Amino acid sequence: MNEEVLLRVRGLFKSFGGVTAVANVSFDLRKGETLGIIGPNGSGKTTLVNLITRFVKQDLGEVFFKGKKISHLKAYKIAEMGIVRTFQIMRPFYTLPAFKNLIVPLYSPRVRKIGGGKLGDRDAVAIDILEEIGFERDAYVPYKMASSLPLGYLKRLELARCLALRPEVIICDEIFSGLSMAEIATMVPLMERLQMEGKTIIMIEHRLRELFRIVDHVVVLNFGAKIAEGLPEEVIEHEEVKKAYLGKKGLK
Amino acid sequence: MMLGMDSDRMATISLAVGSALAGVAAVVILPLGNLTVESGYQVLIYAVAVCIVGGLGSWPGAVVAAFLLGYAQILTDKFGGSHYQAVVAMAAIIITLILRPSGLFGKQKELEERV
Amino acid sequence: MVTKGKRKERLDRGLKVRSEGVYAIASWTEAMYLIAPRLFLILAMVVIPLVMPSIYHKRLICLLFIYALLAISFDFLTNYVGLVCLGGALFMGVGGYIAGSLNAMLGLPAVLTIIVATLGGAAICTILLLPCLPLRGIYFAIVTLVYPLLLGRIIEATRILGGTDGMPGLSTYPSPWVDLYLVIGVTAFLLFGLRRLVNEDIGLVFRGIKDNDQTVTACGVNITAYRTRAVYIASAIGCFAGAYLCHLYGWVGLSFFALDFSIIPIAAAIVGGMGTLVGPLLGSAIIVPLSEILRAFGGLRIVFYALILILFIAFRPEGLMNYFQRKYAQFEHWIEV
Repeated sequence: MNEEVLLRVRGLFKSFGGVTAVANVSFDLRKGETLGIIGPNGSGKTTLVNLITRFVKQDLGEVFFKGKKISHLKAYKIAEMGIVRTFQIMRPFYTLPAFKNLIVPLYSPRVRKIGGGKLGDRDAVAIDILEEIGFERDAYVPYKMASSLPLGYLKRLELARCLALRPEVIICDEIFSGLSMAEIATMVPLMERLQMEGKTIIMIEHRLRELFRIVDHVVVLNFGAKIAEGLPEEVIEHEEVKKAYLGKKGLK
Repeated sequence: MMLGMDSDRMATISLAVGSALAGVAAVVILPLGNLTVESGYQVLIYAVAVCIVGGLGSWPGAVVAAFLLGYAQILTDKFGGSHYQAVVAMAAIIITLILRPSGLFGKQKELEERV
Repeated sequence: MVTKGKRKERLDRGLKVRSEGVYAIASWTEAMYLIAPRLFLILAMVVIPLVMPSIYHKRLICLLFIYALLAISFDFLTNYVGLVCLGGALFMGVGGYIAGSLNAMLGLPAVLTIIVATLGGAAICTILLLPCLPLRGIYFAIVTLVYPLLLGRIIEATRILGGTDGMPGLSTYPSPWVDLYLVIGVTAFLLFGLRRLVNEDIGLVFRGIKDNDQTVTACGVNITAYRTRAVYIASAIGCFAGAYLCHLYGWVGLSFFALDFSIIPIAAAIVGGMGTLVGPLLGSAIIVPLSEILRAFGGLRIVFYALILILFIAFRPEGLMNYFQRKYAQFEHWIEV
């Protein structure tokens, strides 16, 4: 893991009406690192991702990617630079088969530039990506309509969409939520394999047990503010963190 | 629907209220001259311009925009010549959509946050 | 408590399932199952004008295809890109006036004016609509509704481009057969071309934008740029229809911006079946002759349009073509629940 800082977030602020969703959050993300962002419900985790990828405009604060400021760019430009995200509320293209879902990312300017001109047969590339991610080619799973796939496969499809873009940073927004223990047991090795391939990942999660096995570094949010940061073992012992999750009475 | 309100009924009521308001407007405009079947289309242009300039979702915005556009119309009529009135409406729509899409008092702020 | 009842179950026909995939070529029945509808359509488009008795009927067919072109462009924009376009009249007017002006002022022949009006008119329409393309849903609809009225008002008031009288005396086509087969050829080309386009990769991007534009943005695709391309394609279709009509009658005037050209294509698309590109053609084949038959009623025929539209939306909202496609591909039977 290098020391090169890939993503630098400084002082992000966002309030909707009277509610402060994100208050003065700053952190660094190093290349090859897996960062976990945790916090109770409503602590602003998804808003933070929206601010970084600029699906929502920030009130204050800046984001730097590889040293260059990106907090003024449009959302698609940031995705084009290689910062991709999954959506907590799954939104695949239901009327299309699973592999056709990947045509849009494979058609995007980023992949066309990296692939060096014509990518060739996008359908074949899409099916290869799906096979790598666990869609069994023999059972014709990649050809099924996205609307008929169970949730575990849809989550993988979302991840496949991110991977099809040859990303620099992958932001996974609650990718384990809604899955059964068996399905999570198959997803965790996938995330570990991505880690081993050297990808830089940010994971927002509620399931701390699985998350702490994967991440190198954790940031904890509560009511929009960062209350702790560090290794998983340190963070879990932190006073503020325990108070946030268990409440003041729970500490007694 | 899931919150216990019948959304079809709400839509019907909105349609009824909107149409009633349009009917009142027609009655108000009657003394200005004649009323034909095609009068509706003429008013439509200025109504849409007012909506866009004032901002969808805010009726104070519509009132303010109505005054603004009305005065702009009369002033162009007096100083520019009466055939430029429609041009004013069109220019107002285009300028609003380019500079500030949610209009003067628009509630749909996400239009501006549409980065 | 168990409720007993019946429900309809729909299953794909065996013939349809067998004709999916490349094995369809192996057997005549299956190949015919696939080819027959398209062949029938092409034959109908080529043969029916030949059997029309008089020039009045031939003109009617030309008009039918003009409305069909507008309806196809509406269907494409609404169901494959997600932009509800209420402004067919805008495209007609811009295309017609450009063709007419080039012909009247510069004396260019019909072939050139149609090409320039299609490509240049589409550029102008796209530029006019550019401010509302980054915005959500409803703005595109109301702006396209109002632009033709506005442009008509401006031309009428400033008396440019012929004002209220329009520009008469433009060149027409050499023979009635050119009238007919020009527009029929273009429609056929568009039908098969658009059908191919929406299944190509770029068509999938358009459909993605309709389905779910946040996901498409998260893939690094600039939505506004693709919407611009789609609007260019649709307005090129409409501007061609306008330029064609201008040289059909040898005249262009304010009626090119009439609301008729916005509303009738929408009615045709709904009646014929939205989402299939062929449905709007079928719909205008029904609605345009109907409007001619009802011409005796004068203004009252709008009441008939409204009635037909309401009946279709209430009882068969999917439209005729969707119904036929469903019947062709599936059979249904009642089963006990």
